Amino acid sequence: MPDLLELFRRLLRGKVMAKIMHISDLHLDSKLNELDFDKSNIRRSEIKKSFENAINYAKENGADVMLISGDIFDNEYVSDSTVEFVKKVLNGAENIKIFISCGNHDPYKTDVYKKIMDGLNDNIVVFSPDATEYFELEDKKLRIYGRSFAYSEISTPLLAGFKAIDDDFANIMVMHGEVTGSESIYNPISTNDISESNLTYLALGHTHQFSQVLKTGNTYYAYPGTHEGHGFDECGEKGFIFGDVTKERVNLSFIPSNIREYKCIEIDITNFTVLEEIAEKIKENLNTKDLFKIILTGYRNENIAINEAVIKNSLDAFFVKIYDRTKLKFDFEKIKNEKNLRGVLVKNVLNDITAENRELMEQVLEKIAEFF
Amino acid sequence: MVINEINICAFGNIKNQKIEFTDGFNVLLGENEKGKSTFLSFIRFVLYGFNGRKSILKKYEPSSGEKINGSIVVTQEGMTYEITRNLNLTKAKQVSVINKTTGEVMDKDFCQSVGENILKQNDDSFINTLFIGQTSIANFGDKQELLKKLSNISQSGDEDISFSEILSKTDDEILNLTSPRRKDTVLPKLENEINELNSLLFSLKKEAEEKEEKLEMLEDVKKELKLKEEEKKEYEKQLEISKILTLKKREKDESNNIIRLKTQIENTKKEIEEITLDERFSDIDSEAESEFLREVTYDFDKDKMTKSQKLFFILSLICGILCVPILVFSFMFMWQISFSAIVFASLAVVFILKSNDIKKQIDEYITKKTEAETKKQDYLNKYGATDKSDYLAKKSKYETDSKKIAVFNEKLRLQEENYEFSVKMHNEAKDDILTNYKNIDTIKIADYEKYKDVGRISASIQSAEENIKRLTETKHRLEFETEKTQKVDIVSVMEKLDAKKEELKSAHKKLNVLETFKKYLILSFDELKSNFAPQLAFETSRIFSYLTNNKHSDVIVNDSFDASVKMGTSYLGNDYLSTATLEQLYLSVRLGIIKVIGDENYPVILDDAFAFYDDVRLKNVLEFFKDYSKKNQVIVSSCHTREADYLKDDANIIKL
Repeated sequence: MPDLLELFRRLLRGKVMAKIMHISDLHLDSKLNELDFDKSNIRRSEIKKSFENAINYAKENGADVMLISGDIFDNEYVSDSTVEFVKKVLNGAENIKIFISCGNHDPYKTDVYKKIMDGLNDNIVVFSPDATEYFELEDKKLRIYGRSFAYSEISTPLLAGFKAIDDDFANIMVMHGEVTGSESIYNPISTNDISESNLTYLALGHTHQFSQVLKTGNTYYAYPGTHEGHGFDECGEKGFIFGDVTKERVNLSFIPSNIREYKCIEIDITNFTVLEEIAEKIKENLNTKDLFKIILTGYRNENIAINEAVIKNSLDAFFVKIYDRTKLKFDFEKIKNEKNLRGVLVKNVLNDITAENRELMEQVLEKIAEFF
Repeated sequence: MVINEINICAFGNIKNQKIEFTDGFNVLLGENEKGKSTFLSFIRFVLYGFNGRKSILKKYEPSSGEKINGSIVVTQEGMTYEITRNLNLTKAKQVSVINKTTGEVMDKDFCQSVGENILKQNDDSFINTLFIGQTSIANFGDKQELLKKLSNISQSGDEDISFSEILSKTDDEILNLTSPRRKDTVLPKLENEINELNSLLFSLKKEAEEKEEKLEMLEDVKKELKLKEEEKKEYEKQLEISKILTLKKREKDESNNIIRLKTQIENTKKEIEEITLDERFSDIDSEAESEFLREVTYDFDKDKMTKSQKLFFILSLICGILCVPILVFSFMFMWQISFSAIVFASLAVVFILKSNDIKKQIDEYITKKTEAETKKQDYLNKYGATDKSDYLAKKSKYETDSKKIAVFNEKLRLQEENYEFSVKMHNEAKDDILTNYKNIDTIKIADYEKYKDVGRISASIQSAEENIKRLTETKHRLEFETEKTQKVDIVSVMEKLDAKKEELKSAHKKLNVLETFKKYLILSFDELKSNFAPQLAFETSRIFSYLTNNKHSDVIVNDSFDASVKMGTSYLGNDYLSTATLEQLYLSVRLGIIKVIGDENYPVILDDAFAFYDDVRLKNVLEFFKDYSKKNQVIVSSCHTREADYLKDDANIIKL
């Protein structure tokens, strides 16, 4: 008998279990400074496409609710076609309840939202910046709270003192902000506020790295990060959070969905004697899909002039950027004892190196190595 | 290096002369103006050519007008070179160098800077060190080159790299970054590009803002347009109501009119009926009437005529009667009297005739009169009038009545016309309402007052229409203006701007590195300069001490190569030393420099440098050079024989 009861409960729970997708920080139409003109345009288009892919995933996997925690748009100069794209993609998800909280990059009181909001289907909610609102999904026993950024900065914590209704509903909050112990102009959120919030899950947005699904008190919270890398400061797999949430259970996992990945690779070239060897070594690390930042380190043979064009020419990749951080094999400690101009110069430079000017002085030493 | 041979075809006043030197001590002996200096200057000329337009060597252009021509043979590092300068040839061919050891003809680059290539010194440096002229006191030319040479003192082991080269390379790189005069200079170009991008971005942002504003305006316009359209509709509805009400009102008014006119018509008809017209007067024969109306006045006094007839009758009677007595008498009494009876009888006949005539006239008159009266009476009888005035009264009444009837008929006609019109209007209104306006039950005729001002309503509609037209135009314009897509998207521009800023930053970094490098280079060079000073002082002291028989053994030289000699407790410079001593001091400095630089296998050329020396010091200096010439070629010129005398066996004496 108890087994049957448990089974029944499970069935019941299965019925009320809500499947959610949590995505954030799309930064559509963002600048992509590291790339050249064509590649940056391609990437901007891919970043949009990747968002569409994510929505298709939600549709195919029967998501009930989609949470977007802000920064859909990178800036106020977002193109009309991107606005149209977002409208189209969001309106295409007819069977999913979509909840959007605006972030610091696309605050509510900008023209972008004005543009987007007329023309959104009824299943899409953009939370107000004026007060925390909530919507209830009776059949899923789910209550979704949210609050938008009105303007690009919020110094007073929006979550401070917030308490969700305590009943048999699961409470979710969609919000953009910075989980921090100190002050912030991006809606500072303290873990204390989270644990006091009575929320089941706090769907955050702001940082571009998946935070893992964390828990404080009885509240789970997570940043999904951005869905697609925007630069070499956003290396690694990107995606969104997907899973189910009930009052009793939060079962969310990270789904990588990026079209391309930013990768940073350091290669020590100390033992290489010709440029082509270095190019070959770089080639081994590449694939044609991702974006690579290759940092050459170590000591470079005096005969090798690192020429990015030559190296790139032999590589077959979507995008490669090569940073030369190598140093010439120069024994400055020995040279500084020479009683000639070079020696005196090296000695003087070495003597004047401080913590602040180290980078500059090392480059000056490189220059000495180059000229003498 | 050793100068083996001088071969002058034409230089100064020398023509076709040849001198050979040994690799040791050579003394060129000759009286003044024999050409000692000319020979030695020729060495400099062959090695360096004219050093600019104002070269002091210009004075050696032959006065004969010939072009300079000649050669020297030198040996350097085992190679013997013949260097020829022939100004008769084209500029490119004026210098030629043949490596006599290998037979190689040296290339143009080598020839162009033959002095630098063989001596590893430029002209300035040569004149400051190896070539010691007659007035050598403190006569250093451009010291920079010398300083540079001194700074790279031998230990570097890398003779190819000189301070100046690196400095100029550094400056070049700096200029490539900064100089606005150079083409494609990095910093100004980047700054320019950034400025351009900034202004482009500014205008794009402004454009975007304007677009936003326009979109807002468009929204407002659309709202207003909707409002105006609603307003227009409302007015049109009012207009319709007004029209319906007008029709209704007309229907009602006309039906009232119909009733009113009907009564009027009946009344008029009654009025007409009330008048009985004497129809006898309807066709009056105007001739007859005028006949009737004419008052016949006869110029005939009937009584008078009757009287006169009676008179004439009586007269005739009288006359007739008289005749009888008379006749009787005549017959009786006298026949003559019968004549009178004839007269009387004729009178009686005339009178009777007259009386008859009058009587006839009277009868005639009576007949005529009776006839006329009968006619009149008949006329009166015809019109039922008793007499003329009655006739006229009756006629007048008839006329009045018929006029009245005409008026009434006209009135009636008008009334009937109105009636028909009203009927028509009424029916039309009724039909109009029935066919064109349905469901008008809610419209109450009582509201007519409210809606009757069609003009106002129409004006309102017109004004609404004008507003709609204006707003639609504005709407179209705004739609057109806002639909224009931006040619350049802002994000790309911002991206480009950031990239350029990043480039600028890295260029500045590079510049900073170069400038820092330059700073340290100069600083280190200065440090080296101060390093060679003691060494130079030491070498100079040593030589000066030797030349002065150890009288002065403490010399200091600053980096302008000013030397001071310690005398007593202080160092004394130029102003305190004798000419000869100064000569010796600066000779020492030069030799010291040569020693410090370490160009020890170069020849030292002294052109009449010992003129001021006393015998003792001359002996000392010659001894010094005798020793010096064991390693280096020394060429000394003099106009005195004392050098030659002293060196008889130790030097190659060349007499000019």
